[in-house]
Amino acid sequence: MKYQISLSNVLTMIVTVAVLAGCTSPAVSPTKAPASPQPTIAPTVTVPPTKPPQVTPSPQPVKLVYWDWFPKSEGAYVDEQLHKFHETYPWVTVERNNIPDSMAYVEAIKLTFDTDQAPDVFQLLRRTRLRDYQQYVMPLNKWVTPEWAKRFPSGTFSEGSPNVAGENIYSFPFQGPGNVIRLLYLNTALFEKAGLVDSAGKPAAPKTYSQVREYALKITQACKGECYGWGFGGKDPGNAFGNVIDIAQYGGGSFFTLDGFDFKTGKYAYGSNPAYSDVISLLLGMKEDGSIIPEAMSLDDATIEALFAEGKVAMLLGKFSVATNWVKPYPNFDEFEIVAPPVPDSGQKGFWYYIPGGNTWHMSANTKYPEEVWLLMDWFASKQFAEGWVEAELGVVFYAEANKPEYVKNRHFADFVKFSSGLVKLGPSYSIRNPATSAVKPEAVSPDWADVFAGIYTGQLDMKTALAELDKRKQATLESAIQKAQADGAEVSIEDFIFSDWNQMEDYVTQPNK
Amino acid sequence: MGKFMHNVKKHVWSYVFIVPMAILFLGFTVYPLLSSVRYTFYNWSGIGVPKDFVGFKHYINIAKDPFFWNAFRNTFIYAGVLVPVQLSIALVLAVILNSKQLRLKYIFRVIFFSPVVTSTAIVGIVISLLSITAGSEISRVLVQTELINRPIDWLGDPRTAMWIVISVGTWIGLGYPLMYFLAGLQAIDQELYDAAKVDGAGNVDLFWYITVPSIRPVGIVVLLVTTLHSLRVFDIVQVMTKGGPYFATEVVGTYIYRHAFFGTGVGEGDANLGFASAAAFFMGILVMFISVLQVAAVRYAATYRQKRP
Repeated sequence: MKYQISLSNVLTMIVTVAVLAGCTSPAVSPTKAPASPQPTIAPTVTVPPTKPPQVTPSPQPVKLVYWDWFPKSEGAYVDEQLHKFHETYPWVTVERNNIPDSMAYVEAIKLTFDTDQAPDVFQLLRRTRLRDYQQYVMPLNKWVTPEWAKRFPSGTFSEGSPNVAGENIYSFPFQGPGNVIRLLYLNTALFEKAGLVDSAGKPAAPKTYSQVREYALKITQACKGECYGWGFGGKDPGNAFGNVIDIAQYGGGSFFTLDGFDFKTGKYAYGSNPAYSDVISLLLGMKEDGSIIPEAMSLDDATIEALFAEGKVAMLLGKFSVATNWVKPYPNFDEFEIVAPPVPDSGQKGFWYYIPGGNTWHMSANTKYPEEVWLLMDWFASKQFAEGWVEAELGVVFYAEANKPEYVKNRHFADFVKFSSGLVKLGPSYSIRNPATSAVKPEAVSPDWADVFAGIYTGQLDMKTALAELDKRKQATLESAIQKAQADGAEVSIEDFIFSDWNQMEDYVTQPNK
Repeated sequence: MGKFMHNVKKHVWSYVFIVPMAILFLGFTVYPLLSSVRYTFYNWSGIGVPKDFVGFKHYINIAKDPFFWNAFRNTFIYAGVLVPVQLSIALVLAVILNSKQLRLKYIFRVIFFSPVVTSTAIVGIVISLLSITAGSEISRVLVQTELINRPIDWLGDPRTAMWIVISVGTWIGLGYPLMYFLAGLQAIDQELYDAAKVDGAGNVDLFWYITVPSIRPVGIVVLLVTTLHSLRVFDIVQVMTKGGPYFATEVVGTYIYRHAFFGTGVGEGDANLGFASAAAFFMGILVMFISVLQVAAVRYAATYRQKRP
């Protein structure tokens, strides 16, 4: 009997320990930054300071409901500005509803549309197709006078821009195109450990893919299993391989309006353009060397950024927001440098591209207070709002003169501001050339590039075959969408998407109907 | 009709008590289920009224989609491994916890049941972090002992990710079958054991000839509930792997979620609630069919056993 008691207790204790082991408190990860806002346009003109419009105060107090998905840092700035707005227009109060989770935001805003309870002013997400929401948004033509529009670069309100549908203007750009660039983050301490520093003690920035691989291996060997040369957060392939595809773009690939599409030939080119295979081969090579942190595919962005700050990873790619993400959890962490991303060994063959226009804030089609809403939208489009945004180190804006490194205190953000203007070019826009292309709605393909890249990295897919099949899938959906649009009466063809004279190293100004 | 009304009047309070639950069931289960059937015939992003009628296209595409069948296969692998393992462990633990000799049994019961009342999302995050921290230490030991030649990314490697998810799913849901079995064990008449012991039965004989037959009715219910619950797996997979890497852990739940809210996982504009509804309905029909087969098989087995001389 003694034996039975002992066995019961021992077995129970073993399982109990296992149960309790899983109840250990998790290490808190920093909150993941949301998707970057839509790229807009960098002006080439000098814009005079904007003056508040002259308005007659309403006899009754007006309360506007405003929704956005800004994360906390941007939200704090917006709150501060809304307070100033109220001081300027005391009869207007703005009630801000913030949903920083972009997915939750999309669902919530859709629900307000469905129930006729849309807020007076609201944001839509990057890549949102305005045509899907057109009926819920008030055209701004009444207020966007030629004089007002001068603050934006030419082409901002052309038909075919993301903020224009037909003859109606629905929004205006705010954030600058430079926000989309990816930069290479170098951990100074780990570069020092591997002896990869210059005479000033700064990390020797790898300029080519070969150098990246070489440096990553040297650092990994110097670390002896305690740290790694390269890291990324592959748990969300859209983010992790979004960085990779953006680097491919810099190496001569395409840009986001049709990812992987070769605008010079009218064909998808994941399989045929070496820009993609080069960057994937770099990752596979570093994986083979053991230079990439082994848990990369289990990590999210926030965790890999934390591991970089803790000296476990020497290099990672990221937007400027990676640097600002460290401010709260690692306030004293400054031992890193931001440099331009590496290019293929054969040299740089591209840039980041943007198209004119952009949509950030929208007026509800059902608002009872259009004049007051316009006051708020005009406030958001003002130069003082834009300058404050840059000074608060939240990103670059469409006002070029606000994007000055000397406006900011943080040296890393100043580096980003410096890079942001030099790494972007104006790209071709099929929607400006032929606005009827808005009727072309390619269906989503599955698996798309993010999953395919993940499959190749984990060894589940063969790179050559997978990229060729991805091209076939995407080409088929584009051609099918064009055929459907033609059947519906739209005058479109594949020729609208071909810009054979596009030089990827220069700005491309799209001419309507050409 | 008269007999029916008579019965209703006779048991009127029973119907009154059923009414609130019936209203909730109709409002929050039956109505959404039926209304979603309509969406399966449309391309619909979830905004406004569905207009783009596509007929049975979504069903045809789902039937032809290798990623749906991959998710379907993974769902059944998950359920096929989890159910027998979880029920076996739960039964053994229930017998141990039912032992009169075990001290602190109430504390142990609370401990074993606690994962059930813990948020799956929290458990998923904790285990994900453990797979990185503790997992890298385990990898290091395995590399040092030359059992493997390079560290393993436990949740990022298609060869290991599904097994980790199944293990966690088994552990987190262990409490329910454990409690069912425990309740079943406590209902067994002690005199049966005493009589068997007098007849010379050992511990193994007691278990196989007294315990197992006595808790068989409970076991059938637990088997059905656990199977259906495991076929609906979603949250633990979504939190731990999001169905990755490259669909290695994708189950039907995450497949539906991906198409309902993300499409390809890249852009918000790709969502198609119509397609996702069709996938959900398709899976619902399959699960219903499998459940009917399961019930029929269990009944047949019970009848066969009773007829056996």
